[in-house]
Formats: sequence, C-alpha cells, structure tokens
Amino acid sequence: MNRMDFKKISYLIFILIFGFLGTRCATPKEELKTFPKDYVHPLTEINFEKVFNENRGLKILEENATMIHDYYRGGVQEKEEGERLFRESRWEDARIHLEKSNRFLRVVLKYLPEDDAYRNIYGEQAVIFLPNLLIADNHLKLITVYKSLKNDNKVGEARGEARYYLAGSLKSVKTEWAYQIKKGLEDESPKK
Amino acid sequence: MVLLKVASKEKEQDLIKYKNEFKISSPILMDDNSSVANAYGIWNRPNTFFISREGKIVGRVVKEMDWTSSKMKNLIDYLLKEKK
Repeated sequence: MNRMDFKKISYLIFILIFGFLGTRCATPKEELKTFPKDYVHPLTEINFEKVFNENRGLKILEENATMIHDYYRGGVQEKEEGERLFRESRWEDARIHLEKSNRFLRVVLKYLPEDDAYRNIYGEQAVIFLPNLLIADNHLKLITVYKSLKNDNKVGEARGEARYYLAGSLKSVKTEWAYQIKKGLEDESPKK
Repeated sequence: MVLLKVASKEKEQDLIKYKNEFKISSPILMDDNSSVANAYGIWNRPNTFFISREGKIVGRVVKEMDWTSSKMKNLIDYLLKEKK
C-alpha cells in the first residue's frame, strides 16, 4: 500500500446499499389487502401509533425532501412531535410542528390526492396512507392551539380546513379514526 | 471506504447463492425484521446512502446506478477527498 492509498483510507466513508439486483426478484411487491367498499377500519387496525411507527427513523428535513414518501414521512414525523408538544400544552411549539406537518402532507396530496388504508408508495412496502385524515386531525388539534393562543381568526379557518380534509378522507376510505375526528369537530363547534 | 449491503427480509441461502454467483466480496448484512430499513426510511429498493466519517448522511440515491460510471467515480473520489 503506497502513501497515497493510506491517505485515502484515512478519510473514511460508508456506502450502505439496501436491496440489490440479485435478490430483488426474490422480494415480491407486498400484496395489498382489499376491503369491502363500506368497511370501517377499526382503531385497532389503523391508529396513530401504527402510522408513527411506520414513519419513524431518520428525520426528514424540509430542504432534503424530494420524493413523495419523504414528504409523507416528514408530515407524520412533524405530526408526532406536534402531538407530543400539544399534550404538554406547549401551544406555540405545537403550532409550528402541526403546521409544518400540514405543509409536508399538502405536497403529498398534490400528487396522490386520495387516502388509502394501505398503499405501496414507490416501492414494495405497503403503509397506512392517510394524508387527508392526518391533515384533518392536525387541524382539529390546531383549533385548540389557536384558541389557547387567542388567535380567533385562525380558529374558524382551521375548523373549515378540518372538515374539508375529513370529507376528502372519508370519500376514499372509512376509518374509526375519521369518525372520532368528526365527533371531535362536532363537540368543539359552537352550539347554535 | 467501506461498502456494506443490507438485505431486508431475505433468506440466508438466497443471499449466499447471490454472493457466490456474482462473486460479491463486500459484506451483506441481514436485516431480518427490516428494522434498519425502517430506520433509514426505506420504502423502495435499491436505495444507497453515503455516510461520512462523522456519521452524517452526505448523499442518497434512490434508484439503480452504474457503479462503474465516471459520474459515480467522481462522486466517490470527491467524498474520499473531503477532509474533517
């Protein structure tokens, strides 16, 4: 080994390759389950925790997101952080993350506008894919956040957005989670 | 430079066959329950990460690529020349 080679090795990089040509054929695309049109996915099957678990790992930064699944993953990660801060009543911090989550998820909807209980996004792995529902849920939380921050103008806006995205989600897939959000919106709305 | 291949949910015997057939000298790591793939946000394969000596991800390629191309050679040369 000459001096030059040694110098090169001292500047180490790792190249990590997931999946490769030889075995790719042995990995079939994950079969998507099919459900009756009016099937309501129970909370035990589709819930926060499952969605969060599927999207944990490397944190997606807005400036690094390029693919649809980056934006979806980023949206879910920001939501998880926003939810945590929401539970701690840290309203301003929660607002930042929930709004950021919505920005990520709106990019997803530009290209894939419909929710799906399970979807293969650019690959062989099926994940719970509910961008509309996640935005609706973010807005439901944002109503409380804006109320706490005394930002009344935004409360009405968030209410409208939550209803709009919830309807979008229910049009494609019915979930117990969505009906929970619907009830949350009804309970929260001013009584006539 | 260290080249590592990660195989998720693959059978060991298939990997050995692949390694022998294509005379692969680099290690193939088995990721049985896809926990590594999930941590890296892998939803499609192949997916390649370039990780600097500081442990930072400095590049990512989300499609097949020709490792012998001049573009690839230039990229690796550039990364190897990067100092601390």
